[in-house]
Amino acid sequence: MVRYAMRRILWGVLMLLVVSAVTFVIFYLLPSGDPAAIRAGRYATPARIAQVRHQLGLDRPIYYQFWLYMKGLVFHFNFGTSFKTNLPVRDTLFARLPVTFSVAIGAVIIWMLIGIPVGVISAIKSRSWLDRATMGASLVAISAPVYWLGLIALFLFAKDIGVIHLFGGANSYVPFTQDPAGWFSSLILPWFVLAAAFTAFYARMVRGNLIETMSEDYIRTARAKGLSERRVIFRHGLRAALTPVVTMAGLDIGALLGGAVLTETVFNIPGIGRLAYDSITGSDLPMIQGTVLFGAFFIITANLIVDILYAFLDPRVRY
Amino acid sequence: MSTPELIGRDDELVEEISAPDAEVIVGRSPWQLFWVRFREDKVALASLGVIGLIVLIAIFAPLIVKAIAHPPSAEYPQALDPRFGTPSGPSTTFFFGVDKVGEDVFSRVLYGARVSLEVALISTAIAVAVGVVMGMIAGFYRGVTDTLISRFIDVMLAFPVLLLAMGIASACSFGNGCLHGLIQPGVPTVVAVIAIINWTYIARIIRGQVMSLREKEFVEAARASGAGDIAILFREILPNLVAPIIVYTTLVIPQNILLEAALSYLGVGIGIQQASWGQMLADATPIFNTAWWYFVFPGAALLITVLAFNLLGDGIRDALDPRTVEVT
Repeated sequence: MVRYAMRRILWGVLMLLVVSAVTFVIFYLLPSGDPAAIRAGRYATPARIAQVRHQLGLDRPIYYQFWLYMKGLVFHFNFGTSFKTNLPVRDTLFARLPVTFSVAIGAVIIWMLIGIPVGVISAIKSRSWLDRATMGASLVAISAPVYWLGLIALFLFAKDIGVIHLFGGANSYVPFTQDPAGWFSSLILPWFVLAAAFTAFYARMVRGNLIETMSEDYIRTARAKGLSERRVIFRHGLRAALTPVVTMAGLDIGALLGGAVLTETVFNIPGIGRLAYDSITGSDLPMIQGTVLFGAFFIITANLIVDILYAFLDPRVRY
Repeated sequence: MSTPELIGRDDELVEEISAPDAEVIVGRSPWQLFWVRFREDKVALASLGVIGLIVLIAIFAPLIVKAIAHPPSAEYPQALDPRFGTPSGPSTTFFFGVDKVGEDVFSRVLYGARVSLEVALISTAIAVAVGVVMGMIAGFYRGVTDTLISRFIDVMLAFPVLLLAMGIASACSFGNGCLHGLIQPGVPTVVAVIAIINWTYIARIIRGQVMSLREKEFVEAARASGAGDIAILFREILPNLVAPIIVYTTLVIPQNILLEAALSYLGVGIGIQQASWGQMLADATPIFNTAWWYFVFPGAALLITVLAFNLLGDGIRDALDPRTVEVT
């Protein structure tokens, strides 16, 4: 077990290094434009641009730039300095993290609490009218653009401009430590909007898994020995059907911690996703690069945790 | 009845076998089987009809707009409120109202279908082509080749999809585009970004399928009769991959339509020269509380298109025997 975990962790670290290198390629090698010109501003003189280029180290050979970049990342966790605010990208990202975490956690709770029961009911009443209706609705939820749902939610329910004045609207985010009630009210709409597609996806996944599990031999055995249908479904069927769901949830949470870009943008919540959006508008390349690396970091870590937990629960994985 | 010869046809015998009460057994190709099942699926047929309609609208958008609406980029200041300059809602002249500079939302929604389908279809085609080739190479040659390709896919999958897309799109959107002007800002960049993000998934699926196919007897037979690697890959293995490729393609097109719209919404998409649904939703956001028509119609167009493709994808997957085609 320990050997397996060590191997997975080493692999995760290696992944982080490679991901950093690929990010370097995207942001340093792909563009044909000159980052120094962006950094220097619109009305900079050629001399000023040259000076900025020197400051950024862009006049050095590419392998030396790569070395500096990797050294900064690995030893100092240095993501560079924002073109716009002149603050270290790392500090800005960490300052935004609690906000993104707030958005993610509520959405996760909602989609697990709604998605799993809906999926179970649909599977039990498979091919019934109810099943068709919920599965149809779930496909609509998956197909709808999340920022469009956000606009509709704001239009209908926002406190300031909505048809029914109910919850906090866009721009209403306040940190939990400042005003818990305001925090909650401002996040209700984003939570439901973000959770919509996930709920639908999880409901469909649970339904599919449970239907497949219920045709297994050991379920027939459980029925044959006279267990109640309720017990067969919940004790025997659901347990197997939910394992992949938990795995999936771990990975989705990891991805969401990198920033729910569209939801945060439409509700103007100052998380990492909104930061990425604002950085794009301002061509703030180091900041965008930082959000990409940060997001990848969470995805790799989530993968790692899920894999190790999985091996812990199911010894067959530890080959 | 005389004893029939074993070789050659005996009409009397044939008649006897296919006697009126015996059920006629007809040999059906996999495609006929697919069609028989697909035909029964009314939802899938309806969604196919809707997609056909959307494609026609996209193709004939200029004609439709010319006949009953206004050019998509022409501004009609008279449709704005004279006092506040706010846009006016749906009317008999402007079916979907006008936007904040007085452009016809109806025309722009129609033209938006062109961009949406064009980008989604081209990028999906590229991603599938690259993914299939890479997946076939990895699955067929295994060993070091497979390790290299598979690990590279792992790395690609470790990136957050939308942030990576935004990163590449923004890195390519200034100066002369990417790779010294090879990928220009605008449509080519968006197509490239979506293709880069998508090929990995199909490559993984194809790799798995090829790994089991390459051990089959028909591959061995082909090899025994002197076929080379290329011939085996494209003549023997590829035809067996058609079903998963079709299923995957129809399921990924709607995702790519959404991805294109999301990139345009975030300001790293097609650009403002062309009307696109995501761009319209971005423009509608600052004034969405006063001009509901401005965000409702492009969003609804997006929803209907994506939903139709999703329903079609589900139908095709079900019709192509879900047991043999595992797409997760």
